[in-house]
Amino acid sequence: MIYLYCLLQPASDPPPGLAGVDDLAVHLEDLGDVGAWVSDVPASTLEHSVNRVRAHDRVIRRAMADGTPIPARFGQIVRDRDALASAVAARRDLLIRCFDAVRGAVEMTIRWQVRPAEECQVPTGGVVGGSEGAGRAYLLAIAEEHRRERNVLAAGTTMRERIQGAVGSLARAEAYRGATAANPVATVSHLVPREMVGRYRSAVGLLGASAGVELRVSGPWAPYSFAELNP
Amino acid sequence: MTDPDLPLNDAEEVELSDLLSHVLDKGVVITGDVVISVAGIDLIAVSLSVLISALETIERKHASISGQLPYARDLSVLPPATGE
Repeated sequence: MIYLYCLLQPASDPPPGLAGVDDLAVHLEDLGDVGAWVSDVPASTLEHSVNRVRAHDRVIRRAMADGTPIPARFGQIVRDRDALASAVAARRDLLIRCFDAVRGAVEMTIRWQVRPAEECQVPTGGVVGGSEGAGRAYLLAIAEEHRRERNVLAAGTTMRERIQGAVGSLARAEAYRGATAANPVATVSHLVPREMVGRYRSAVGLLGASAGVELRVSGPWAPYSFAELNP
Repeated sequence: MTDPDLPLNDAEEVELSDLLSHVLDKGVVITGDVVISVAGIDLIAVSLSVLISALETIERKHASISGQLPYARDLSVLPPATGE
């Protein structure tokens, strides 16, 4: 069984002694014009743990020292080298396009807590007891829930647009995950050329200070959010 | 999660949440049977609740240091909360 960390183009060997999940040795599977950093694992599934997740990312970060890998999602295990080669070959065109898109860039991620301008209160006057009052209260509660959802969505979108205005010229692409009332943390990731990372951090810092918003920047990451193989 | 390096402080929790959301939820998928991604949902959910709590704590600390509420200046740029 082979555990996959990332794909590279051109293929290059990992440094001697590089350890991955469960301290297993990492080695290269050369698949022609694409390489894969992998470990041999004893089972077809790998239970997640924080240490294993960290090990997965550590291997990918090491690959970033030599270029821009396409990071694999955690937990992908294939039967053997032939299965890996077959899976890569079936997506070769999309992979090559993805390599071209991310080359020389890293992912920077901003997260912030979305706070609507105000908590909306739906008027509840006139609600009386009995089944009619209960029905009205139920409908008002649903309306309030929808209103809150829209406010969170709008507040997140507003800040996203401000961020785009501040760093859009420094980024090749953007991936946004909006907040909801249940999950009020919004996330936006940018694909940023390596040489632009310092300017990117400065721009986000200035925006956060001027807006009074805690914009938390993390990165550089491998381009996890930009490794979708969309036709 | 039974890793020995827990518990973490707020900043470390946020960092861990960042890590989990990237590694478990994103990245290329070239095999059709990523069994772990199904199991990983739990870890992401746990990570998210930890993240929200940690961010709130960090913001409260910043607010107490600066003597002002965070977001106070941001209210003017947010859309009116009419919901219409």
